[in-house]
Amino acid sequence: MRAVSLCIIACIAAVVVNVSGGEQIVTVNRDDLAERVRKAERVVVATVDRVEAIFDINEFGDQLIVSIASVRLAETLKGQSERTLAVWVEGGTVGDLTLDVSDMPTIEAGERAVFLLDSTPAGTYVPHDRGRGIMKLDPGGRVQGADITLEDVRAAVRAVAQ
Amino acid sequence: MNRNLSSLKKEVRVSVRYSAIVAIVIATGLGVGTYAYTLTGYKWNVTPVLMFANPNTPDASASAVEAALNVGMNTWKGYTTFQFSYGGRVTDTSAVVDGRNVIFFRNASKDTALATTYNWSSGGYRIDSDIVFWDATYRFFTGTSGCSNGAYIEDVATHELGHTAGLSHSSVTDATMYYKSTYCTQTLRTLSSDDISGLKALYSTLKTLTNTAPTISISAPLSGSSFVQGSSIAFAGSATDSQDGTLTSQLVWRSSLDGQIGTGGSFSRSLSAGSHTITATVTDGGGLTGSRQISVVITSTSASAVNVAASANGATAAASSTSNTGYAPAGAINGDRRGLNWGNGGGWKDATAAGFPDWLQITFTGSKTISKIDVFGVQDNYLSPVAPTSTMTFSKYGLVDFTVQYWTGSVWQAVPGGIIRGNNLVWRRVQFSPLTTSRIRILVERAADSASRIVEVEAY
Repeated sequence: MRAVSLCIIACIAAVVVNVSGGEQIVTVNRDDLAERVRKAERVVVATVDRVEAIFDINEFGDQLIVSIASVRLAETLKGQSERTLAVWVEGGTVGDLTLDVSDMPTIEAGERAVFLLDSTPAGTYVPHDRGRGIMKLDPGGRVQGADITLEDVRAAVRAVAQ
Repeated sequence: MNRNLSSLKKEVRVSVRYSAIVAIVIATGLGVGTYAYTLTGYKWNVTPVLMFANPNTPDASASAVEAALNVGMNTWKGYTTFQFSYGGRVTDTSAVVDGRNVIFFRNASKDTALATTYNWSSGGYRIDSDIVFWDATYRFFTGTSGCSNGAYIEDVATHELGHTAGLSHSSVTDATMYYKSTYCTQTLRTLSSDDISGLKALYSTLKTLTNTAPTISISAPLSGSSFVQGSSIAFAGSATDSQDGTLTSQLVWRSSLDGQIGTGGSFSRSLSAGSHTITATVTDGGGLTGSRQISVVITSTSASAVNVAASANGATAAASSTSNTGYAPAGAINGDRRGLNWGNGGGWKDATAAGFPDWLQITFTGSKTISKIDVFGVQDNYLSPVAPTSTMTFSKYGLVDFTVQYWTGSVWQAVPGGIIRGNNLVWRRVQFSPLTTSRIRILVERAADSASRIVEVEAY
């Protein structure tokens, strides 16, 4: 009982931050971050330069729209350092047709995020663990919708590297 | 929907925290209507939304899966006019933007996802939604007991159908639309106030869909056409539906004698000998079926070539009345299908202008077994007639309503298929199971103008 009470007190403080930040979608938890960082092939901090959507058909015969995001790397936390990468994300808009995929985020030019990435046999990069591989950052360096900061991610990567 | 069992302990704490968040928001006057649901930006513009299922999974029987999916669908019912409706089983295994919403299981995995919903939208509205259950990593259960280290289909379906409806993930941990769940949860099949608020935000005004059956037209062959057995017949048609649009590619063609003969908007094939009723059908996404029928006759190549109605074979002709000797009944059994020398022995014309019915009778040389009767009317260009074809039409002098009869020994009776109405063909063929008679009669009940005219009658 005491632990719960303490939690509520702590949470009241967190409420103010959450509401004022307009955050709504929780997609990241600190406790499994280390595991996902460990499993991801690359972890980078990058800004989306542009997004191009195309029609595609995957290995299951699903008709898809895929958004190819060209991201400019500001920081490589894990994996080989490069200036830019192309990240393929299911969903997007081509003409008047839009595909939204329930476990993938929409992605737009100008957004800054931590990308946990895996490479595909085709040589493209996709988010590790679907939409959870894209952790959008607010201007203050916090992961949107979660109580995790960019510094937490850096720490997780360092811990995995040790 | 993702599941992460390792974070269960954490989630319990998070749940308490977000309960506190809602309480604080309300208490601080930010408004009771402040909820944490999010919307995808698209919704359906009609209801109900029809969902089909391919219930094939090694985890449960098809009927149990269907029952579980219906629980998920019904969970969203009753809060607004929006609702789902189950359309039945299909065999789809891919997510395709085809206007048919399908839930199916796939023996593959997508990281930690239990299921994924693929939603297509255009013009501001949803047009297609397919849900994939990732069946390789997780085991799925149905009902309310027996689940171990897996997930109930009822709960996963309820969550994914929320995406279909237009809801995105919520930050409220007890909401059905929260982005992840725990093993064997049964809480998602009950909507939270947050889910309901999101649904109401989407569908405060939504018209109820009234489904109508598809409309089908058959452009080829013409109804009543005749073909020689073995010849290739071109079939063509189209199907449209007020709700689903063009359904031509889904047409199914059946013959009363040969069974299914083709699919789609056009094809060619031969048919067996006999009188065929051809039916083209299609079923729309709402389960309503439209159909159209035509009749065609296929003449057997092994049929008798002896025209027992020909005067050359001893038959004689008589009529209810005759205009004059130039139109004597004998002209209608003289072996000429064209009507050469019309008005001078080329065929029969009655004498009662505008008076119907009229009749032309042919008496055979004794009893004959026949299975086919051909009736030839007057061509529009009767001064220069040509050999008639099965598709030649008239507009001036032909027979419109008439009955092909045979003498039973005591009364006149129509041969099977012999009641012709609304005819516009110069050449009409009636084919039937063999019957034995000594006489036949053409009873004319309406013609294109005031007189009954017959160029030729043949019986085989």
